[in-house]
Amino acid sequence: MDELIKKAQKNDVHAFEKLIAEHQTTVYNIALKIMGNPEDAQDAAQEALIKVFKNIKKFKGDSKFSTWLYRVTHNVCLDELRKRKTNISSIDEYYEDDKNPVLNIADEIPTPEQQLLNKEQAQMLKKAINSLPPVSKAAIYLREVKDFSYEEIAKIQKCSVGTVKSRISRARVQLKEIILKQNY
Amino acid sequence: MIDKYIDEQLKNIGEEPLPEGFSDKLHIKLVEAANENKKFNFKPVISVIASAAAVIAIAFGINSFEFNKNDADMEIASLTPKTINQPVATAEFDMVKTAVMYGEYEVNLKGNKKVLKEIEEIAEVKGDVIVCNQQQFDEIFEILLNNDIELTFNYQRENDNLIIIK
Repeated sequence: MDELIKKAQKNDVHAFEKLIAEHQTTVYNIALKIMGNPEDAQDAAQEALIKVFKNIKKFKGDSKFSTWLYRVTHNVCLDELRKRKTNISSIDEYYEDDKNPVLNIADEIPTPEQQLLNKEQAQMLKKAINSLPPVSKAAIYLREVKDFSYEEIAKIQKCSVGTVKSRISRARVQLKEIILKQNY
Repeated sequence: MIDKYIDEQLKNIGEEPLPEGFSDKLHIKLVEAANENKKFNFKPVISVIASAAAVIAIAFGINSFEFNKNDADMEIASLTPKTINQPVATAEFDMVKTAVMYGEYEVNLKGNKKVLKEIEEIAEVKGDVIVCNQQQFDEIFEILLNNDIELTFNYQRENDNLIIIK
């Protein structure tokens, strides 16, 4: 097992900080996609990291440390949403805000084909992405931005590979429908 | 074309940097958590405390303990004294220490059926409970220590009779 993990298991904060250094941003972004705003995301990400530190002795190395870490993060976020008794598929008010820093969808469309889609359409698409369920957004983030395999995402989200594929596929269909509706 | 556009837009979801001060805040919390862990980790001094506890236990007439297994998967077992209800709120420090010592412990026995068997050979097993006397109790501790099994102290938060040692 990784030397840093062993040290962290012996209550070494410095080792733990080194261990999570390269994963913190991903942890935060998973939380951001699920929680929907930076404040809650920060709280959830920190809670997840503390939870991992407190329970790192239980980590046996059966999976990659990062997978375990992201899974804990995912669970912490969903638990928090459940505590609030929020409909998990509908917390997206934050993303209605145009100042939203999470989704930096470019206004400039690089290819000629894409130029057919005007700014208004881009805004529509942005809203469409924003309206996706949090778990789907997290899945898309892990797949499209982090290049994780479906298998890895399934482990993190504790679901089947089929469910992950279905979440991402549904999201694409939803986005496509909006674009087509806009064009025709 | 649309699919390609969607692909690109999805890539554009992007990644946000950590908020300012994230690592500093986390560091403070981690140090607190580490201190808490240290406070509850009796492993290095467990033998000393066990011996002291034994003496005090005998002095206070405490001589019986229950060793509860988690019947689901044996991952977590706990040592819970029958004497947990002894009033210690106003007792001397040593007595408090004893009560804490006799508080609830979590022993990770996952994948360690050999150890569990050894424990069962020492003490009488009644269903999911192993009842043992002071000597057996000490022997069980010895086995756990010899097998490098961590004992983690948990406060009996729901039990008003225990004092939290800070």
